[in-house]
Amino acid sequence: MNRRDLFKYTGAAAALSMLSPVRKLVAAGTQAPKRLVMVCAQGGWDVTYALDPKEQSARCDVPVGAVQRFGNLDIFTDATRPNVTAFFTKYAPLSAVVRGISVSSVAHQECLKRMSTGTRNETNPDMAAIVAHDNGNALPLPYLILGDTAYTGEYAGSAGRVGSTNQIIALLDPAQAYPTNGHAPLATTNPEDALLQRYANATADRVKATRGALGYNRKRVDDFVEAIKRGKALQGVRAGFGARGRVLTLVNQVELALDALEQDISQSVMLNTRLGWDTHDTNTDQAGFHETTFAGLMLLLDGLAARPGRQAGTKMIDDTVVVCYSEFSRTPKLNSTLGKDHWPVTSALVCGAGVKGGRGYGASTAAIEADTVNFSTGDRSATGMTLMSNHFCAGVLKACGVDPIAHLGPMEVFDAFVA
Amino acid sequence: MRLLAITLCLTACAGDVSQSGDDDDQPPDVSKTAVYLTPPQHLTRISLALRGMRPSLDDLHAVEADASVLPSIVDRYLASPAFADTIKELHNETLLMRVEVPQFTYPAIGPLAGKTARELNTGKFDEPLELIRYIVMTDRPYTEIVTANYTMTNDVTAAMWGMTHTGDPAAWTKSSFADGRAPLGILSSNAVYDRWRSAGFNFNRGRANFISRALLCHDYLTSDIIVDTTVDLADPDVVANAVVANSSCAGCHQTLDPLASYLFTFRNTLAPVGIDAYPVTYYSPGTANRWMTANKRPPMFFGQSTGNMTGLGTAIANDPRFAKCTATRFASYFTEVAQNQLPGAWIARLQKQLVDSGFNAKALAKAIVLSDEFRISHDTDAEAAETTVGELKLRPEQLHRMVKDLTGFTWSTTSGANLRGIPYGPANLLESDFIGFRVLAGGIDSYFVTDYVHTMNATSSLTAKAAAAAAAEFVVEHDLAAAPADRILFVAAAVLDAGEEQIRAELAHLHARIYGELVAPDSPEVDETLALYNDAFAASGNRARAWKVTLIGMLSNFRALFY
Repeated sequence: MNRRDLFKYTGAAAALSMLSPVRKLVAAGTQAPKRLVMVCAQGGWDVTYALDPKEQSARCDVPVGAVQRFGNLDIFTDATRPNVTAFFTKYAPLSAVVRGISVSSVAHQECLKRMSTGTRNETNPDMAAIVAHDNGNALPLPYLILGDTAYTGEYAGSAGRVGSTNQIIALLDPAQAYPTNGHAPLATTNPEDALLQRYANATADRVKATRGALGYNRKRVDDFVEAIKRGKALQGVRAGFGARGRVLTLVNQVELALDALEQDISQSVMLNTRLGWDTHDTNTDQAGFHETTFAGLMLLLDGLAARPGRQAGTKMIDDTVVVCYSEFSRTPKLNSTLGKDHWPVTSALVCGAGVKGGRGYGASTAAIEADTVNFSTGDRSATGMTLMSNHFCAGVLKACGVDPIAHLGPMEVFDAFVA
Repeated sequence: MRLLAITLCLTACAGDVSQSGDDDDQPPDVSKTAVYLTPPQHLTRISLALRGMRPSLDDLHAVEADASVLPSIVDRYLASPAFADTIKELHNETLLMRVEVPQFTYPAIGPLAGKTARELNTGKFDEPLELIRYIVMTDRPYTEIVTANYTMTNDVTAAMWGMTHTGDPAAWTKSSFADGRAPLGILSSNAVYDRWRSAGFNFNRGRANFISRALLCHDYLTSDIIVDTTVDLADPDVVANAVVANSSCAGCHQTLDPLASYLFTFRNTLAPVGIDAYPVTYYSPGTANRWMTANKRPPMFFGQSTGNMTGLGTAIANDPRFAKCTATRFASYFTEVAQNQLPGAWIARLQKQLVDSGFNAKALAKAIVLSDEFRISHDTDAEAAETTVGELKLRPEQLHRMVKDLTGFTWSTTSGANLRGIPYGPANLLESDFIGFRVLAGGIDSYFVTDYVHTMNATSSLTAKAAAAAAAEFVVEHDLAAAPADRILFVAAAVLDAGEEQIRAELAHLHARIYGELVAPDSPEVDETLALYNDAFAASGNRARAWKVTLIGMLSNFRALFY
């Protein structure tokens, strides 16, 4: 029996009772349900370029720049990286920087899995998939994956990708379908679609009466029926998906994400900066990557701040959490080719609704080693604990109004940054 | 990629299985409340798993009459070209070769000028998959995938790496590298090392873990570790010392690094922008001893000296984990059950059968599909049902073959898009990631998406319907114009026939072909589909369109997409 099964069959309460009483446990989140946008800087960013300022020393090489304070939030900035400065100038009050997150590995996929899902198993859903399922599973496409890597796990039925050249539109809009061997596919009418839905439902009922009555099989049948409805709903909002053939840059992804969230197509979106963060050579490329990323984040936050929220008089920023993260960071020291290699301690940016912004949480040493932290305050503490990727993910889930324990199991939740 | 971080004892892994398995006296690990497929249902699952195609009517009737003919039908399936495609797909799920991303797409220059991006990538990355296909389909010992002194090439492969190729340019033929490299099957392949590139100072550790994961099912990266952050990972000398002397590193690196040391003859990486002419040199015997100054660990296979690189393949083949891992990978692929969820006793039996057969991969596949574990339909116990995979979803590649076999239609297009500035070219939309729907249909792109989705979601539903709509359009128009003997699907009635008896007969035929259901024309199942046809005809007044709608409903139905 794995951890997920443990919760399925015994319930969280029983599992909680198995824990040591000295461990701090946080129960269900009390936040209102949020939307979640995840922006993945896949490849490994150098946190010394912005999020985790360090001093140049024998143990750490830092880029050109200086520490700049935005209220209580210290960020490493430089005139050559104006987008970073501009972002925090405008959005520092909404932004929490979480530092010293230990991922306990230096392999890309392994760390990406850990930072995305809070677990060591790629068959588990990532944070966005969980939030989509728990907070918005009735939407047409609860989890919209615009970036590259995402983990959908048991919520795969709620997720969907657009493809590397936005080819989803070829499925949504008959006018943009591919010409295939001179045979245009039959475009069914709405009445015909209703007939097809009825036929599919009849089959589903037949299967559920036999092989699909229980368990895994039943879920496959239910997903099949639900997928048809979701597909039809998606076709109804196809205008939001743009044109076929467009390779989605971060800016393109932000525009699509904002539309999908505003139109209540999706509850969560996964974006990817699509930049070459893995700078084993020429680490100075990180400067440009930070600029592109923070320009995208500015566009995203501006859009969330401008578009109407779900409640009258609110904006989307009032019900959306944004997380920008990377699977790991880079070595404190430059290597012989002036690059930096993989490093198992990283930082992340969390902003938006339900976030106590305007300051940093967690801590790392002068050489970017994970420092121990008081989980209640988020401050460095000699008697605290090391902040791990699962603690961080649990905190994000809580900020989104999702019970982290129900998904990640009994554990300490790093929720100091949660309002 | 630096892998200074992994714990765990490989010796425990190496020592826990015998070459032929040690659990063969255990009973089948199947729930007592499990319900099995009927023989025709079992045949359908076998046919789709092995070929991605529905069984013929003759085979369905034969099995219904006498289930004992099943093994002979399986033998026929195992000899079919469709099984060869399955073998490549099965191995791609592990090797993750079929990538369509710019940084892996080599230029169309010199002898490869005019080639499309798809041809270039297929020519490069299908080479190890074609080698495995050849070994399996010619009944050679499966161990040859790591010991063969030959490989397969088409004209692109040959031009890219400077190998010989004659005959049809697109045909894959036996060839070999002309540079004297060790005979290691897929481990001699330039394409494998181009796909699994090594960052400069990582000294092939990522590649070594790839070999261990893919061939021995031992993945160092799954280990729980404590990374010692006092080690300066940017300094190769410090790292070289730490992986020997630091206990938090040495646990893994004492076996990982010596395995990596075999691989210094291959380039670390070669980006497309670095290529200005073909053939490309990817193998350099002169760098074989670079381990002496790099990781300073002599080549060894989990503590075993193999003499030289030639001995590596044999050492892998002789490792009990190789047979067990092969059995696990095959069983997982054919059952859609995660590797770590497979019954251990069953895997042990399969391992023994593989070894006893002289490492015949077809024998392994046959043992799997004829087993009780494979033919489970469902479980009547609610708790057991949660983990009983009794409805298997077609992978996109299987969906393509099924639709093509049923309707004669291949869902393809010629794209004007460019991949790294190179025309992408014609593509099967269910086997393409760059423009097509492989990932949207639940498949893998072998780079960003590396696990199949075995359920339906919005995009896979839309893809299935679009494929069905295109195929229905094709086959109805084809059969409408064709002479009766040349029709593909309409054999019991013509498209324009109006009599209910003929329509019912045709629907019963379609139920058999598309669902594998042998039902009477007056059965409730046919009633249901007839209602769809009649309502569609009532809506349009057009019998051809009514058949197209009916076929869309059937080809995208749960019974067509799951098995």
